[in-house]
Order: sequence, then C-alpha cells, then structure tokens
Amino acid sequence: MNKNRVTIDYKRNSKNTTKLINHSNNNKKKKIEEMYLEFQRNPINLEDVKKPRGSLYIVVDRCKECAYCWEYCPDNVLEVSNQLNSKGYHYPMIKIDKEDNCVHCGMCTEICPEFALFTLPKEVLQIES
Amino acid sequence: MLGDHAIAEGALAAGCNFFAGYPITPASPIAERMSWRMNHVDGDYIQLEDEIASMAAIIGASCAGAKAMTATSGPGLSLMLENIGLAYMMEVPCVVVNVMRGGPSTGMPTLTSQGDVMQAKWGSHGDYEMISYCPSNVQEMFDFTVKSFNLAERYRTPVILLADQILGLMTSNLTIPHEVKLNTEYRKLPPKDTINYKPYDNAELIPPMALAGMGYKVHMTGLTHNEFGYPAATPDTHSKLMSRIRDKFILNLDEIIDLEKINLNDCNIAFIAYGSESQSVKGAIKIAEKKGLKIGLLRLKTIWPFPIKEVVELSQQVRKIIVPEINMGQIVHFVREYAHCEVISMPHPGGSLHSPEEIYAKIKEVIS
Amino acid sequence: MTLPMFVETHPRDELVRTERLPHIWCPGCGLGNILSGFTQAIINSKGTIPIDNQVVVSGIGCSGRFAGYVKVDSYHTTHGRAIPFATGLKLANKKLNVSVISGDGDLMTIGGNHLIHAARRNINLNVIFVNNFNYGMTGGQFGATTPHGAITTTSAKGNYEHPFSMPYLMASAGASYVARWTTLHLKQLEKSIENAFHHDGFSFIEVISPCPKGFGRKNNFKTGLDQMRYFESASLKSDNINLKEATASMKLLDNLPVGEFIIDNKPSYLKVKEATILNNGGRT
Repeated sequence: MNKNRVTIDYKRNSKNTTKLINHSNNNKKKKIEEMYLEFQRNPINLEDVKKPRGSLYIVVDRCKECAYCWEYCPDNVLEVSNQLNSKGYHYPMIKIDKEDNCVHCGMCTEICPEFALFTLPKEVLQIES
Repeated sequence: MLGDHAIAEGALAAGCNFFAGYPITPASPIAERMSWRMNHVDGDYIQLEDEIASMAAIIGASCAGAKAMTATSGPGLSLMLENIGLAYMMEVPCVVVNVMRGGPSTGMPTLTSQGDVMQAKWGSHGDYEMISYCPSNVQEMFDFTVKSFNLAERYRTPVILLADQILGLMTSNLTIPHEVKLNTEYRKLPPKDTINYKPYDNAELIPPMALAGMGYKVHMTGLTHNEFGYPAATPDTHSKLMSRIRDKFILNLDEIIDLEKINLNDCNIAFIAYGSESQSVKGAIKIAEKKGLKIGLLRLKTIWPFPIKEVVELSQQVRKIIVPEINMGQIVHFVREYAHCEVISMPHPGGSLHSPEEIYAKIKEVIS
Repeated sequence: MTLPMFVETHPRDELVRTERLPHIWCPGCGLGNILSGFTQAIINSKGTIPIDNQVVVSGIGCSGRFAGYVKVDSYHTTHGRAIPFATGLKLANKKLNVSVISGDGDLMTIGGNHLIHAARRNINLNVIFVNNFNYGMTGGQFGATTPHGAITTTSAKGNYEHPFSMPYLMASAGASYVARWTTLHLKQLEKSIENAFHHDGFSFIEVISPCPKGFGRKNNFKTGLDQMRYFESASLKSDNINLKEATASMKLLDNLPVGEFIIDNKPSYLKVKEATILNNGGRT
C-alpha cells in the first residue's frame, strides 16, 4: 500500500548509523515516535563529560628499550628519549606538543613487558599537587 | 602375602595417599594393589605414560601435601634418576621402590639381582646423599616401607627402597601391627605467620615445608637456590645449601643407619650382606655352627648412608670380611675402602642367590 | 619534552615477585607480556578462584623462568616434566588451579609425550604453551615447532624438518579447550586465560611470542618489534578454521590463524574418575 509507506532516517548520536524502517499502518506510529526519541541526537554537554587525561610514570630501571610503548600508543604520544637508565637503555618520553594528548587509554601500561611504564588519570595528579 | 603386596600395605599403613606408576616386571603387583586399595583410603592412583612422569608426579603430589610413592625396577629407576635429583634438591619427601631384577638393560625381568645398589646413591648426576632400605624377608618388605616413609618425611628427602625380585614375588607370613603401634611421621609445617617464612632457611637443619595452597607463595626450583627459594648461582650459596642438605644426613647417621649384628663379638671371619642374599648367609652360618665354626654377619638393613664407622670397627675385630652379593661386586668396594682387614668379594652375575652350601664352601676356602 | 615521572612500583606489580625485576628476558621478548596478562587474569578471577589456590609449574628454558616471577606457589621443575609434576599437584589437592607455563622446546620437544597424554586424559590443567619457535635459553637451536627452512644455530642451512601444528595436535589428542594468540593480543589472551581457568578439563593456549635474539634475528625479524609488526599484519582470527591448515609458519606472506579453536565441554579426568568409581560400587 503505497500511501502508508514512510521511510525515516535515524542518526545515532555518536555512531552515525542510519536505519531505514518501513511501516504499514498508524498503530505503529507511537512506537516509531518512541524509537525516534531514543535515537535522537543529543548534543554532549562538555561540563559533564570531560576527555580523560593521563600522566606518564615509569619504574625507570626496568625499561629495556623494547620500543613497544612508542610503537603502539594509539595517539603516537610517546617516543624514545635520549636519556639512559642505569642499565644503559633509553626510556620513553612524551613528544613535544603532545603533552596534553595522553588520554590514559592504558595501552602502554598493558603492553610494556617490563612492568615499567604506565599512566594514571591526570585528575589524580591535580588533587595531589 | 606376596612381598610386593606387603610393600603396598606398608605404604598404606604409613599413610600413603598418592601412587603414580608404570607397569614393570616385577613391580607391577604393587601398582595393581595400589590401584585397588587407593580408593579405600581416599587416595589417588594414576598410571602415567612412563617412569619419568611417575617420578615427577610423586614430587608434585608431595609438594601439595600427599605422601607419595612409586614402584619400579632397574630400567625404570634409570629413567627416574634426573627427577630423584630434583626431589633431593627441592627437599621433597617421597618414596621410590625398586624391586631389583637381572640387569643390565632389559636383562632378566623375571629373575633377581642386587645390581642397582650403587645406582641408588650414585646414579643421578651431582653429589647427593641417599637413604636406602634393603629388606630381606616379606615382613621387612612391610616394615621397611613404613620406615622409608617416616625417614622421607623426617628428613625431607627421597628414599629408595631396594627390594629384589625374589622377595617381591615371594609369598610368606606377615604380621601387620595395629595402627596405634605404628609411629607415622609427617613433615614439619611452617608456623602461622607468613611474613618471615623462608622456604630453605639455612639456620634450621630441616626447614619446615610449606605446601601448595597454604598461602605462603613458595617458589621451589631445581636450580641452586637461596633461602627464599630463588635461583642464585654463586659458589657461596651453593656451598651453604649443599652442606645443609648433606648435614641432614651426616649429623643424623645414628638415627638413620640400621644394622643387624650376628655373632660379631667372637668370630674371626665375618660377612657383610644385605637383602635376600643375607638369608643364604644366615643359612651358611648355621651350617658352620654345626661344624664348630663361629662366623659373624653384619647385615645392612640400610645400605645408604653406608655405615662407615661400624665397618671400620668390624674390620678391626675380625681377620677377614666376605661380601657376597647378587652383582659383580658393588658394596664390596665401599667395604674395601674403609676396612682395615682383608676383604673378599663373592660376586654373582644375577638370576639366583648363592646357596648356603656355596657360601659355606667359600668360608672353608677362606679359612684354609 | 616531558619525561615520565620516576616511581618505584607499577600498578600490575601485585602478583609479580618484584624483588627479582627487571626480569632476565631480552628486550622485546613476549614473556613479559604473558606475565602481565597471566597475573591480571588471576586477579580478575579471584572471585571464583582464590589467589592462594593458584599454582604455576614451569620447566626449563626462558619460558620456564616464568615460575620464578609469578607471586603464587610456583615450581620450577626438570626439562619437559612440568606436566606430570602438575598432574601430581592437582590430584593431591584438587582445590588447586594448576597452570603449566613453559616453552615449545620444553613442553613439546622433550616433553611431548607428557603433553599429548595429558590432553588425552583431559586432566584438569591449564597449559600456556609459549611458542617462540626455538630453544631460546640455550642460544637458539631448532625444536619441534621451528618452521621448515628456518635458520637456527643448529640448522645453519635451514631446518630440514617440519614443525608440529600445535592446535591440530592438541585437538586430535583430545584437548577440550584449544586456543592460539600472539603476545600482541593482550586483552584476548587475558580473557582466554580466564576462560581456561574456568574450563573444566585440559586447556591449551598457544602463545606465539617474539624471540629477537634466538629466532628472530636469523629469520628476517631483526627486533622483537619486527615480529610484533608481523603478528599485527598476519594474524587472522579464525575460530572455525580447519586445524590442519592452522600452522604458524612465520613467513611474511602467510597468515597466522589465532582464536579459540576448540571449546568442548566433555567431562574432565576428575569428573569421569569420580563417576566411574561411583557407578562401580563406590570406594570399597
């Protein structure tokens, strides 16, 4: 029945998925409205949701310069420094201009095979200082 | 009861609740009986893929608190040697029964010998001490198994019981003492506080043993280790560790060594024998007595640690010592090293015992 | 530049014997990652398996040194014999959750007999098979899992032999949980280890690990990072793959199938033992 066919576009707030729904009669109109509200775009309130920040820590003499952390940091925040630990290995540092980019994702903490490098949320640091 | 079964019953009387084994003639009856009897004592029987696995399994079971045993013969003991060293190094109590058969190699599975007595003490690599009992009748098969467990637990060490095929497959009378009269020992466990526990404290001759699951988070290794159990390969740590482990035996020789002395005070000729061969010797002594000769016997109930002091003393009292063995002369070398008198070896390639008449013939030969 | 702040402890230190860090493993070795994932898996499972009941047994080799770094009851045993040792431990105290963590040379080459029998028995053990394709500790000799043609210290012209395909072997031996991951699959490995802890029966997890000094540098992987990059590009989650084709060839053009290949709920050794005794007259 062509006159009752309606197609509606949906946009999920952060996922950008679109769904086409066909409905055939008015009994389902209420359900459609509810779904519309659920999938409606809600702007994020930046006061409530803060982007996490992380600060970098290291148990320096455990580092063996394996290169996993600076290779696998998802935002390329880390690189090798020219500082040596007492065993003769260069340990990592945060790149210039990337000081605020660490989001405490935990990748370096997990991938360091030496239990050396890790991050903590930066809020913790602020409370301490 | 069959000698092999007496060993199984002795183990159960001592509290054995774990048996891992592999079939081998003439020790299979022990495994067979254990596989049935373990259910009665709520223990575990597992038949593993080889003797190496059996030895590893009993060490593991002992680390978790079980009283563990395995039983094998010559070829199996050869396979177990590496892990016997592990049990010695980790200081884990366990009992290995070797029902000796004709060797070397596959040898004569259904005939006896005493060919593995040296292997028990010198088979595994490195320097180590060993406790070995050598029963000479079915009653001793039972009694010495109980004693093996007790000494293993007391000194935190593997103990090898050296039976032989004749006794293993001999049926004879056996008296099993009431539970109350049996003194069974268990290793010392550590005190309640976890913080100061050192698994291999050199200050204590026999450190208390923490079991897996007790919460002490022990680390035990076959590498040379320090007092915390961590690998520490330095000559100094090695020396301290090995002296303490050796001292467990050397300082307790009086408690460990067990001997039977017959006629030793007034004889010129004495025998040193062990195992089923010693029964022939006793027969020969009776024959000699009828002919008016007084012959002595020092029977080694424990072959290892070797009774150096007693052999020296004996050699100063008698003129000659004869050492009959069902092998081509193994213990005789030790006797020769320490005796001050002449030592005569009476070897046998294996397969049967010397008869009392043969031994008596030797006495006559030696006297003349 | 911003240097990291220097501290004395790491958040994942809880179950590590920190007095023995830094560990002896080479820079780029995957064993550190496995240690990290394994200890986290223990912590994540502590609701159902108390940490005091966790036991680790290992053999000889670089992977064998694992037992010396985990802060639970741990046993460092003879070469190839970790599995029967663990069998004894488990049977003597059935409450323990016993994990065997050892290398390919230790568990499969010398200890292969014990491994396949344990799989056949479906004994309640968790085996973490660290595969770095060579005998690392002794300098890089070839073993039962070394790829065909690989250069090692004892196969300078290329390995004549063909390796085992571990998941295929374990599946045919009767293992009831078979998985393979690489040390780059950190989260998946951790979850897989937790699954193995809770799996009732024989669990086998093969973890492919870089070995820069032993295997890698003679076989086109100059650093551990090069091997990790290979894992990233070549690994393919293939849970339903025909295991006959699930070899790990470490050759640049081949895939590396990973995933949980077999999850079988058949009864474990202990369950079958209890049922059999009960059905045949009980303990009399």
